[in-house]
Amino acid sequence: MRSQRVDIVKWAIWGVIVLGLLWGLFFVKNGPQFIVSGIRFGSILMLGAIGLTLTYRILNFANFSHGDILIFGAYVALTVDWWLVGQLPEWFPRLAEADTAVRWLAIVGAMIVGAIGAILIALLIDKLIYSRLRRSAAVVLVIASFGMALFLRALVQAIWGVGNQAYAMRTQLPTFYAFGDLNGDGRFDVFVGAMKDLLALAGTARPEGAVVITMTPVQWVTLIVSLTLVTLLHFFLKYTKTGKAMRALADNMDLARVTGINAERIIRWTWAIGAGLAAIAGVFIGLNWGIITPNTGALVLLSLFAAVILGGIGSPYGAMLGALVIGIAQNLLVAPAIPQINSQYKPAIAFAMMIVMLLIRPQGLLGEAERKG
Amino acid sequence: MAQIFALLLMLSSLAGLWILLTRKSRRTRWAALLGTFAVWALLLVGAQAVGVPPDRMFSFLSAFLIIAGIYAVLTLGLNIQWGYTGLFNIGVAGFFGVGAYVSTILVQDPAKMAVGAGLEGFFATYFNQPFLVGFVAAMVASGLTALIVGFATLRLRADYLAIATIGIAEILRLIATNERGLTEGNRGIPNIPQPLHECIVIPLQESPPCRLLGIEIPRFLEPAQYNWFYLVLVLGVIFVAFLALERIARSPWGRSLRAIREDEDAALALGKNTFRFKMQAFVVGAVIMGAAGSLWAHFVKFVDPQIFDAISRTFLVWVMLIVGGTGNNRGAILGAFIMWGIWSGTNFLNDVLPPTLETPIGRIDVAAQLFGPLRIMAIVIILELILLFRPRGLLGEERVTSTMIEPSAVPAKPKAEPASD
Repeated sequence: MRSQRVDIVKWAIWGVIVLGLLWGLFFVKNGPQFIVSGIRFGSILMLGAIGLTLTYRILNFANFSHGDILIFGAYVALTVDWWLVGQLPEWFPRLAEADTAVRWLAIVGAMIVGAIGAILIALLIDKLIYSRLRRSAAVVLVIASFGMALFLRALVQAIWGVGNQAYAMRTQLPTFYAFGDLNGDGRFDVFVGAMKDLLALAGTARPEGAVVITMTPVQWVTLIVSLTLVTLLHFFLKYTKTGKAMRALADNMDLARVTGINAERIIRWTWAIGAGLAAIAGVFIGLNWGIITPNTGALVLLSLFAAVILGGIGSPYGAMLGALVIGIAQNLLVAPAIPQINSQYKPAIAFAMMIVMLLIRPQGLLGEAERKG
Repeated sequence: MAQIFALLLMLSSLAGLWILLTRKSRRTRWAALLGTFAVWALLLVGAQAVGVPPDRMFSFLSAFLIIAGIYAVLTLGLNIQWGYTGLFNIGVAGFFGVGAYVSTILVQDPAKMAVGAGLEGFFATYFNQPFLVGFVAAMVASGLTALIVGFATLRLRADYLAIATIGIAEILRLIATNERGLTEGNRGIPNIPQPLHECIVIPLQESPPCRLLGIEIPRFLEPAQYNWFYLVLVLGVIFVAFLALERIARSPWGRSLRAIREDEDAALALGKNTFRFKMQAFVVGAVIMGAAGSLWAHFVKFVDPQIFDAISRTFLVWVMLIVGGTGNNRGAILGAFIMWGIWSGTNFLNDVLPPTLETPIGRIDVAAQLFGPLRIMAIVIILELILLFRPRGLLGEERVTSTMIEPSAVPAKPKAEPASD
């Protein structure tokens, strides 16, 4: 009886999501553009949410320092980025002319070093603190992780200062993608153009009913790299021995140990995957928002938790789904799509969705939750 | 020189408080209280002898005691949530800030907002009510916030409550920053009226006196002495909250909370409605936090979104409770005073440290960039050490929580129990 009722709730939630997408596509001015932006932010959130959900599942606690590991990695990458931008033309004189190429190469290198930095700090914290608390109550671990979150934030502030900082990447002209009956001749057209063409098109000439989406190269790279990493992670979890061991450990730690899985090794893998992906998410956040501050991590953490809970805490695929939903909702439900809602409220949208989800279906869309009382 | 005397004043207050809270004998406690006053008097005389004006010492001492007292109220609120019931609330700042903002908006006098050129264009509406209305409304608002968060999360694992409380604090900060029509945004609300300030402080210009039931209230305080009146108010709130919580701890209700903390499934199996108990404890704690927020706003006379700061309003309160002794109300008060002493005492280091440092990687602005983060790191390290080596804190939890049993009838150490029982 009960399970049937819950299933209805689940389908109702799916229905709301589909209706929301349809509403966004057809009834919001420039809706498709916001949905595409939402997917882009959702794919960034995915990278962060996966680590959060994996640590929750395998180490069995909500890791409040995840957002600050993310921002630590992003700041390490920031330093490396500016250093490489200065150094690359000296090492390869041929690059001196190609400024854009230098900046792209620098950001790639920075991302890798930032991920390594985040992995190292995560492993160090695990070694120093969490490993001593493996058998403690979850709440003790949560206190410890909350303390570590503030510690890392303070560390970032001490090293890099509290102000806004930006990566060396320059804003590049976006490409316009226009679909619809652009000439008014009753035929469907597809149009791809650079900024200036589109301004003409978007300004006065564009007829009603045409859909216009703009994407800068950085945004394309964000979307493609994030989705590729998530796909790679899927194959890793599904087909490699370590990935399978990780899933086994998540299901039942004691049973997995009995079969000879080295739990500590898998835990290190979990931290490495979580922190590495988080650092890359941090860099993408810096590139897409334009700036990072030491508090960015704490703010993003809210959206990450919302994504994880929406999809079902502990489930990697749930986290991906939740991140997409949160990303799209955050872009569709604030200005400019709905002018009345300040776009500063993006984290509040995520939080409100999380609270609603906890009230009607605490186990999320794809996960299970323990329920008491 | 002034700093040294200030530090000594602080230390003597802490020592007096320690004895007052830990000793059982009434005579020792009176001696501690009078002794503290005597030390203060000596220090003030000494300060005057070396040329430090006693007024400055006085205002330092009262401000220290008031702020530490407000933190003590906050810590008491956290104690019933975490210490008694095991509810993991890391959004203390949210409930504190709600109290501060609600009380401010209700009590603020619109006429006081226009303080100078360029500041007249304020957005919000204010209600100009008496302090007591704001104080009660702050408690109600904070309790309602807790009700919403509690309904969503108290049936679930502890982590969900933690996520939701840290979230509500962050969301409230966003609202306070962006809803300028309600809170003035980042600019903050200045000149918040203080309770009975117009009635008991001798004004600069002649003005009609306040009347209570037709009787004129005499004005007896210089403006600089008003803080002592406020201190009495804060101590009164601490005292009421402390007595109430001590009574709760010794009631069947309080023992049920402890049972839930220790083993929720067992409490459930015994027929306790654990959700309802947890909700009640959570709301009571939030109400106390709201009261602390109101006291804070009317003491510093200014409120802005910084009030939701996770470090000084949430984390510091947690450290205070853990240092003092989780589950022990005396410990909560003691921890609040000690940690506020350490936190504000380290401000003196700023006078000693060089303002800037030349390092190989460039010049570092010590005061602006390094000092704050280093202090936070030090506090985190204190917390981790206490968690590792003395998890019960300075005082630890009281073992006997029944009014029916004389504490002296129970052996001090659990080891001796089998022999006597």
